[in-house]
Amino acid sequence: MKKADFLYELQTNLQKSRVSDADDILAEYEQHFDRKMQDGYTEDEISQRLGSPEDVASLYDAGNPAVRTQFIVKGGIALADIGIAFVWILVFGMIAVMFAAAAAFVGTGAFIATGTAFPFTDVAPLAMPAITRILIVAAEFGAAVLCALGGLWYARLFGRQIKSYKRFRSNALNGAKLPPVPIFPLTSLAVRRRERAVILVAAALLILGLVAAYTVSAISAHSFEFWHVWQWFA
Amino acid sequence: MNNINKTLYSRGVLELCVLTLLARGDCYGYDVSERIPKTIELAEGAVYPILRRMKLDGFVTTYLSEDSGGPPRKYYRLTDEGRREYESARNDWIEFSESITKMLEGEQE
Repeated sequence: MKKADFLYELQTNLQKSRVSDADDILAEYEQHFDRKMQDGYTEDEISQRLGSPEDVASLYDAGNPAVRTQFIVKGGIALADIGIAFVWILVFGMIAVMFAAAAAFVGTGAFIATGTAFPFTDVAPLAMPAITRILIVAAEFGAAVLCALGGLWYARLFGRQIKSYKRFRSNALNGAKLPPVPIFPLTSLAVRRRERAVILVAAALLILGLVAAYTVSAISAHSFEFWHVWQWFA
Repeated sequence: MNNINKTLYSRGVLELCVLTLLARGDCYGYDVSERIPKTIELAEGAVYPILRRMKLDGFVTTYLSEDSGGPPRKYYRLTDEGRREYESARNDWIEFSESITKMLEGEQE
């Protein structure tokens, strides 16, 4: 096929499938022909290597839904952008809250462990037997680990959602092409198993630590409200 | 390189190959259409539609340059977004191909 024939057929096919700025596309193929001819290829060889004009035009078709639907899709995507922004603000907030809580547990744990006063508060160093101190610190450690894991999970969710939404968005705008990306984070079985073990240990530390701390404290202070006996908030 | 499987596999990494070329430096369309078919089975005419789609996606921008004396050529340059897409597609591919290789070699999880 000669250059003129190729370009003519390409133009006809592009117009048939209503591809926008066909002139721009044609100019590119024209340049391709010119360049290849400079390199010594014949027009027939060049068009053969390009593929048939119908095939080439159909590739443009796939990437370009009609202008009208494009307009509607763009409007829908704009609304979806706003919606997803709110969701992400929440998810991002959860990441911040989880890590802040983890930091708070580590902080209070450190003050209780060392028996020093909490800064910026009226709370004096908390008096308690050593065993209570150890149990409470263990429980706080468990809580901190749980919160940090939660924060990490939300962070992974956030990353995954961004990827997934980007894929959804580009598929919607260009006609679906690529498979969707899962919305929730995927982890391998081995990692999940390890995570589950860590969560179980941390949760056990938290719950058993608190129950044991309360029991031990109540017994040693001879009161269910041992904090009054030890005058924590006096 | 002439079998249906390879054609199927190629389809998914076409964009990654084009991104890779552009990540190494600006190219004009002709350049890309010359080099991609050397790596994967592809009609040269199929490269331009990919470049155009990547432009619509905001991964590349174009500019005209007459540096070689001839008529102005349309150059393609990776945008920041395109570079990020390249990095993530590259990592995804490496991760993907490694896990497939692992599976093919029969490694258990």
